[in-house]
Amino acid sequence: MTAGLPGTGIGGIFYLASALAMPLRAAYERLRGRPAGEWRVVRAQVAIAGGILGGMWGTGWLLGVAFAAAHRVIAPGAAMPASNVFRTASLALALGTLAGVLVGVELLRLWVHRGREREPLDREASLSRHKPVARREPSVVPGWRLVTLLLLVESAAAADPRIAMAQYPGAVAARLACADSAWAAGNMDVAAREYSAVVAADPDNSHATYRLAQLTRHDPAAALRLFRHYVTLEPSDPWGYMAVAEALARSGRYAEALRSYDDALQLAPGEQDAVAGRARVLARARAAGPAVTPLAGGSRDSDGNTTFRLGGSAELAELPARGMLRLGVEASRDRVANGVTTTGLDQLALRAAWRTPLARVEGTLGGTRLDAAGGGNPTVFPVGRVRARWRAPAGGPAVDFRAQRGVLAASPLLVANRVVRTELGALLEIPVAPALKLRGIGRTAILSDTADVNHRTTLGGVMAVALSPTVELSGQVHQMRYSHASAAGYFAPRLVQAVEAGSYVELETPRGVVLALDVGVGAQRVAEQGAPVGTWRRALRLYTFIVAPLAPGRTLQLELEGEDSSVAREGEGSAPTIGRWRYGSASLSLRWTLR
Amino acid sequence: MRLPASSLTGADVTVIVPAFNEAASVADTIRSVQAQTRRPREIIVVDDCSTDETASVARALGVTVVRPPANTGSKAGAQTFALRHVRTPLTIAVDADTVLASDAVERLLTAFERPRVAAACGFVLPRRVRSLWERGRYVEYLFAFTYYKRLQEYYGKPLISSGCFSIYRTGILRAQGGWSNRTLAEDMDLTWSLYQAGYQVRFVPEAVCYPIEPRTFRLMGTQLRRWSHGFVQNVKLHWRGLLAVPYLRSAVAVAFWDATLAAAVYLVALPVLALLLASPWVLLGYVIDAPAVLVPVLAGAAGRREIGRALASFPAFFVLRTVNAVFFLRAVCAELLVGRSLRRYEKGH
Repeated sequence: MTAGLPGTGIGGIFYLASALAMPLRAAYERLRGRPAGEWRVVRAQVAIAGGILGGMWGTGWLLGVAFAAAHRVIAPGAAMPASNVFRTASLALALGTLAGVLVGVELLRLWVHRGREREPLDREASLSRHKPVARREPSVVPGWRLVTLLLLVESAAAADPRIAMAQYPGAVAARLACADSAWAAGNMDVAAREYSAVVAADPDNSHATYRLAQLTRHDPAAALRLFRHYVTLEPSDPWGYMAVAEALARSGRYAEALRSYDDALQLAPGEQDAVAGRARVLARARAAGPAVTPLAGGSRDSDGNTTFRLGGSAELAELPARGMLRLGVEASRDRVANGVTTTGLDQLALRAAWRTPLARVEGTLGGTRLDAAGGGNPTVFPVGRVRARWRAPAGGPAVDFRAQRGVLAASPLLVANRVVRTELGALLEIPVAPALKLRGIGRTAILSDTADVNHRTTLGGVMAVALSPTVELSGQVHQMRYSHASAAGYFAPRLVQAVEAGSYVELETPRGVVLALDVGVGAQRVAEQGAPVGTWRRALRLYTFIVAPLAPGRTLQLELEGEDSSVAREGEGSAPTIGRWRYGSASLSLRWTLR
Repeated sequence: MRLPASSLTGADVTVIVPAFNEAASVADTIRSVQAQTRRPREIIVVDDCSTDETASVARALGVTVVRPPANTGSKAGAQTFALRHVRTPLTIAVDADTVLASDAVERLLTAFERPRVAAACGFVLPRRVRSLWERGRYVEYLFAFTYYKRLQEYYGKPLISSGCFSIYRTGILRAQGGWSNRTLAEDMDLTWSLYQAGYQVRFVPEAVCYPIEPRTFRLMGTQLRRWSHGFVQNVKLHWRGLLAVPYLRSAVAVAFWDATLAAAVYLVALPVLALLLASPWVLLGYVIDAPAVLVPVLAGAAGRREIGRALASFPAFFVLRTVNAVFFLRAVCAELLVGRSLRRYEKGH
């Protein structure tokens, strides 16, 4: 039974406040040295509450728009849009009512208790068939404090301290059952602890060994050791060999991995997973070799700017170095034109990529030489970028950190003004449910040119729902600010706000052709420097990446990008007006592995 | 009596299945209990003087069937009748139209790691999601069990240990006199009594059960009438005792407010306002919280990979909520204002 009006009413606000108070309560319990409950639960409920707040905000705005469109209500004041009135009024009403009800309950409690002190408990009124166990009430708090601290007091007084999950002493079987139960429930920390205990007590327990190895993937050496131990315990199980092969492949030991897959296929000829796994490892082994990638690409925007790039990269073979390390070099020549002026730039950089099962780090370091402009000399700027990605095991939180310095070269004007962007950014992803992730994005950039230095900050939030392993839907909110306007060739409004519904799809055909499609549909509004926020305008974007294997070791890659909006999200494109701005680019490359 | 979790097995559990004319569904219920990863020691089907084949269907599946001398008149009566036959430290009550996920009992047993836990319940989802009413209930349960109930569990006070599938310590249950039929919501009555006696009640979201929900308006109306009157009767019965239970007192007060004044505003004020302002936009108030409701619903559905089903069922939620408001308002008027308390227990499906 769900009493009341689920969702609406003050119940909705009460539970919203309960959810938002969870971290405070958890922190309070921890400060007092008491178990504060599972952080996973706190995180999930707070994330839901955050989503609800977003929904409430969106609803308020939509209502304001709807009422404004209907012209049925009298505007309460020119300075206050209808949406704000509805949001503020409904929230104030709900909060006021909730506070009134909660204060009423507390006053009633005080009154009833006072009555109890004067007269014996009315057994008939209680209608209980048991003797109530006396509960220590919290000391009486003055009413005015209840009004302000009611929710926090309620949450702090609500439950007895949570007792940590008991350790299971005794038989190995009981711990194994507990571990299996935790595994089935997705509680991987508990499962790992329990399986470890089982393996410590009974090193020949093959089931626990296999599970523990699966849970130790973040440590390839330990996982490999455990899987190998499993193979010695269960030498006739092809899955053991397949697991060993996969662990070896993750360590870059492809030849050994292929031999282990061969062992599995001897035990289970034609086993589909073994065949597919072997093919994957073979492909990775080929891809790990030295490679060259020639590239050609270009772009055009609605302001008449075009770019054309010829370039390529060369990579050495992967080297095992606490993970896999790959070094290489990249170079390109860009021609930038707008129908009147044509200029160009050359880029040369060393690149490195290092990956481990949990983290990936990529970076380049080099220089960009800009063609001479206005009778001057060519200019060389040191440029580079670093990107580090880390993901917790078992689909946990992920962090993506980027730092980059580069030249903005979307138009001849930008090149002539030597606009250089130095940016730091981070993305934090928190999974709140098996298929639901929240992402927070923050970036800050310095844009310097021959005459000026400007600053840009970008904040964004994304709620992504994975419909399947290859399909994701997302709702996104972004906000960008520049400190002042610029005449260097990039559009620097005071504020840009964007909301977007996005989808990301990855498809793979039986012949190995991969199509990744990232589409966003939404709206943007812009406030120019010193001007109010403008109206919402449509914003569309599309990104496609197609990989088509031509022959073993040769892969054709096509990258397409399009945008139809007021302001480029990344801010790299030139948009001298706030009218419609359209941009399209294409890039074609051929990756050729040399062995 | 403290039962260390490590010692709990299916042998510690007896399942009571109250049944009155449930021949069509009781077999599924029994089979789902028999298929548990922690198989209970005994399954007792209470044939509450059915006029159909309930008893023979149950006997054919090899479970114990007991029959009171006369129809007990309520689910509470049938369950309490069976309690005398229970010889295990734990008792589970399962409705005769409810099937359990194969590990539901095992999951619920984990709740008894704490000595003061007297009862525990699981996540409820409709078995069939076809009609408007079943769809509305599906979304309502996804919302409530993903969001409200988990918060109640975090604060240690689940509002109710659901009657369709709950587990109890037998000794404490007997000390409470079993399930009482003094209200029409015996599960709420028992849960609130346990809190007042100083015990804990747990919600274990991983333990999932699937009852058959009312598929027609008539059946839904019968169930809602019973639930709404049961809620008001329990508030009348327990309000003094509840004031001593932190968080629960607030949750109940808020629910009672929403069932009365908020329901009145919801049903009356919005149409009146729309007429006064001559603006149909005011009626958007009925779905004003749709985006906010959708968030926990999608969060719950995503975990079960049922987003499509949740989205398809979402509009039905608002229909059910409106009907729900009507029934709660009527129950408040009948029980508190008119003094006409509903006493007759009617099956909802």
